[in-house]
Amino acid sequence: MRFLALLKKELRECLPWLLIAAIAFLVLGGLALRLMIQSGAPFRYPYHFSPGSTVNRYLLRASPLLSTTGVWLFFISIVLGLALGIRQFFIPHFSRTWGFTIHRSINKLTILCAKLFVAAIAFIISLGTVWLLIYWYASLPEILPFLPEPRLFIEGWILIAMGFTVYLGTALAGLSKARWYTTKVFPLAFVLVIIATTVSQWKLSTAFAVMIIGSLILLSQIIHTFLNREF
Amino acid sequence: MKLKRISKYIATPAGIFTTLLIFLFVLVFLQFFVTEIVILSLYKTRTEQSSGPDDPNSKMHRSAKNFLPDGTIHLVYVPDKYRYADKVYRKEQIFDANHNLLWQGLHKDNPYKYLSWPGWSRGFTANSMKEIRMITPMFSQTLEIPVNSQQRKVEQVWRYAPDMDIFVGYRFKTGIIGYAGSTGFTKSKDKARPFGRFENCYAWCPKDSFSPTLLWQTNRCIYQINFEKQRVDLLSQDHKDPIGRIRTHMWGHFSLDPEQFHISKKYRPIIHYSTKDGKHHLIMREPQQKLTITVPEDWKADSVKLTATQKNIFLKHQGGDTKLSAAPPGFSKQWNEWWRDYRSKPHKRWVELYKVDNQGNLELLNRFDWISPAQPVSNTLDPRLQIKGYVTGASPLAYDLAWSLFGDKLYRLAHQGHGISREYAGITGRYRPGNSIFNWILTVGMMGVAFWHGFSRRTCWGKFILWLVLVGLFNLAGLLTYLALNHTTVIKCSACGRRRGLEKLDCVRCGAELPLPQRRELDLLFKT
Repeated sequence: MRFLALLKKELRECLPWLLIAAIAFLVLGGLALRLMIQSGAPFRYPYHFSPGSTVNRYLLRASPLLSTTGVWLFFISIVLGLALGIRQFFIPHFSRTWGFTIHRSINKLTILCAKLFVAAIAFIISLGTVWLLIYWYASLPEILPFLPEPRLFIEGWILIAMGFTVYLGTALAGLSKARWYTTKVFPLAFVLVIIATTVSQWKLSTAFAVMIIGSLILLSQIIHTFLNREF
Repeated sequence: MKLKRISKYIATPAGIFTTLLIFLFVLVFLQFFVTEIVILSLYKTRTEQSSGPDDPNSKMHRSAKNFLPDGTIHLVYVPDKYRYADKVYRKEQIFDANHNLLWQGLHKDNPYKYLSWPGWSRGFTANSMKEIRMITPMFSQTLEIPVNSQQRKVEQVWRYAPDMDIFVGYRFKTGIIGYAGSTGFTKSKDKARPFGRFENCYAWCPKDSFSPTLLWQTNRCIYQINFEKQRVDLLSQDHKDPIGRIRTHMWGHFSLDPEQFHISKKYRPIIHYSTKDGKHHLIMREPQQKLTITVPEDWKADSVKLTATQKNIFLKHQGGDTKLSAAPPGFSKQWNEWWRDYRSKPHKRWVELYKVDNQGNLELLNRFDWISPAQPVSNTLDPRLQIKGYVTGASPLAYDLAWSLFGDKLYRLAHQGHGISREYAGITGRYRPGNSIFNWILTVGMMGVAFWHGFSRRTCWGKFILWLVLVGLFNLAGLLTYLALNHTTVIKCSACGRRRGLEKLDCVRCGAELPLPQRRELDLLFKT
């Protein structure tokens, strides 16, 4: 019951951000897809080749029809990660409410678990569900000239996971007692390295491995700092 | 509390790793920034130094060695001021093998028609494929081949599916129309066989078509895929050894350039490639013919070129007495010294033209030898390398250690890899200290600072020594990491008067415990 109460509290605090992210992605991502379909661009090939000519290799590259939606997913996922991290770990520090949360009759680890659990749920509900809806819509017959590859769906989840890594980095930065111009910003710099490494992977398994290892590195430090820090 | 202890053992190394990684990136950024500024400031003086007088040997060395179909060699020299001029306006001087001037004038008026040789096929490589498959915010891309009608209307699109290694064909609004694999086109996905590990792809439109045809090279085979006619032709045999890069000549496309158009009538379309066993393979059309040529073992694969006219097949081989450096190029002092030594001495070079018969036997037609002159080399090291010596002073010894243990892998990754792993390997190679004395001095200095700082703050010897080793391995980045994670307040010990940390109860020097606060008059608790 105590854990549930904590969950409700965290969910209540994160709900505005969760809703904003879901609506923003649904409107912007969905609109990007809808506008592209209405423009008829997916049903036209952009280049024409002359007989007897060498074909420029770069003209044969084809971007997926959900690419603009992907950009919105990435951007909103990163912003949601930052917003949730700031809401859960920076705001209690500025508003001096850590004391109220920590001195509940529940151990520190449960408090941390409630925060992490709500953040994960926020990503799954607000972005994951909407992404599932958009992908399902794009997979309907006669919407697009080709069915989107199943790999795209997984890539979408990798972009969502990137947002969660940003959340972990922000959380660790919020917990750090160092000054902002010293090692306090290092977790966020580390997240940039993780994202850059993930983005340059071409195998899904390697990309997931990078994300998981990076997240575990951050998570272990979050647990250690949270359990040992005086609030 | 068990988790608290477990988290300590995982979180501490994780924290060190995170901090160290960020400091290493900051260090590399600064090293890059300083090196680039110095290179830019030295650029002008270096370009002035590099231009030298045109002596006869240098002229001969810089001339193109062209063969006529009868085997006669001509040296075609382009003066410096025309070197980068457009072909039409380029002035040339043509000499015979004894360096007698035969002709001079504009390139377009050249009366001699030399043998034309194939160039590298600059297609879509395996690395390009990996790059477009990267999981970016715009999602990964793939290859898409349209099949256009004579009215230039797209009828089908064939998309490459890298996970299955086959092409999937779509018709707009109709859905999937078929699959293309190594065994040909099929309606069933199960019957489509994968092509094999992708290496290169080259595309052109045939003379009578608006749709691209692909030359698809895997590590063991070469296919030609015509999507319009729905044909997959296996051009090469299925080799046991991996095949190298392919060269093409007049294969597929024709050029609108009049000179090239004139050549295309006299030559047979060819694909030339070599296999790891040292054999060269030629695939020819008009008429269809395949030929395998065995060359002497000491000939490097890149030094051989093949061409086929309507009458004969020719092989050109370029050789020299150069011994390659054992060190990877550009990264080390050792390579730089080899390069200076190489430039400072004249070298013997030669070019040979062979006629190839239908069994692949070689008959020497002509050979030309010349000496490539020594190049002026300053007595001092390249100034950029000198700056690099100072800049890499702060580099970690761990880079050197990594290169000595996994040098081959890192070199391959830095040159043939892609994406961020290539950058990481390149960074460690470019900024490795290379056993410099300056780096050793700095490393010892950093360890000294860490020792001075940590001795009074140490809580146990093992931890203290591990930190010193880390600082030794990572130099400046290691020291900064140590300071970021270990800086604590020190006080003067009440017993011995020397500095001591507050992390440990007893003084690290005299063993005295931390002093208790003085009892005061109003301290009712202690009085009772």
